[in-house]
Amino acid sequence: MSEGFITRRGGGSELSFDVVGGTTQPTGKANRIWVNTSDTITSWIFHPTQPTAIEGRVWFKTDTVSDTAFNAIKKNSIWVYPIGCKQVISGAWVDKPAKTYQNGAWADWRKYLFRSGSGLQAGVSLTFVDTYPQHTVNSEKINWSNSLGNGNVFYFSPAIVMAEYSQLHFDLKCTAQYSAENKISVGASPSVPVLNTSVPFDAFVGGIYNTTRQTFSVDVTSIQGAKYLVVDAYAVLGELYNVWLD
Amino acid sequence: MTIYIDSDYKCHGTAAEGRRAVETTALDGKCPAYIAGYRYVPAGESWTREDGTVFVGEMVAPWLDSRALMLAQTQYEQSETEHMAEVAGLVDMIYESDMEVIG
Repeated sequence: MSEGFITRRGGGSELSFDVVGGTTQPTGKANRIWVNTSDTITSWIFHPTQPTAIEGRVWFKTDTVSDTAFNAIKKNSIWVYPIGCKQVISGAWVDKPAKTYQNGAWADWRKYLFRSGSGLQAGVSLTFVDTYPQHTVNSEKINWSNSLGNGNVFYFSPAIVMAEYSQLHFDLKCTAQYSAENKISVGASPSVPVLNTSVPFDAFVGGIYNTTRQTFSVDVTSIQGAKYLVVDAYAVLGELYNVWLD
Repeated sequence: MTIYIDSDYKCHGTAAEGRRAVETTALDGKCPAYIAGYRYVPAGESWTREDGTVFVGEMVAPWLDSRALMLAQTQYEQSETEHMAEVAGLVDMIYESDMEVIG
């Protein structure tokens, strides 16, 4: 897919979508993009990298995959893959929630690395760092089990630039194999994990060892640079269903 | 180690009014400047960010720019290494001096 950008220009009859700002969810309309903001949108732009900051401008970050991909024009096709939204407020880029109305419902914008139902996303790889690998990966989930002494650590590549996201999420369940001394930590690390070495997380959620399926979220608003998303599990049986950033 | 968190779950190295002590290994080996730039939410508690997003503990995440924190930590570790090298040098000098006295 060739990369380009779409900016707001005069008129809009050729576009298949519109952009609405405000703090109240608007009426649904096919491919309508709602930016949840109390600040006036002066312009908007779709682009894979952060553009020049202009007061009030909204930047829709694009990627090669997206839950809310859409054809931006009425005739022929220019597919757009939005995964994030920011607005310039008082000179600084601020995260803003965005949704697109598709198939009769509002859908959140997210960047998935692993998604239950479709598995590992395009362009994403998964690496296990363990001595006795006992794991399976399919389109539904990542499953791992290990006995005491054989830590299970895995991570997603490539590293992701955190500045473009506010939080990351891990949707999983797990069962303690031995005791609460053995727990899972999930988060962002500046380097890939090394066998038998503690993961040098910059931000993480920890202490996970016996839980029904739920989502664990990590605040990454102050994390700069590219980080690897890592699951550090030791003597804990687990299943990971979804990993995403927004 | 013992750290102190305030009502916004920001970390501090010392006790003060409005702070409570928590025990955690999450920030072991980190310098005071690094610790002060982090937020620690204990297990069983939650923190609500300004935009309303709720984060459940145990969560450890910076609230200051992580690059500044890493720089502080790097400088701290370098300083510690130089200090230890200096101490090791002094120990050697004392040892050599003692050996001369002992003959």
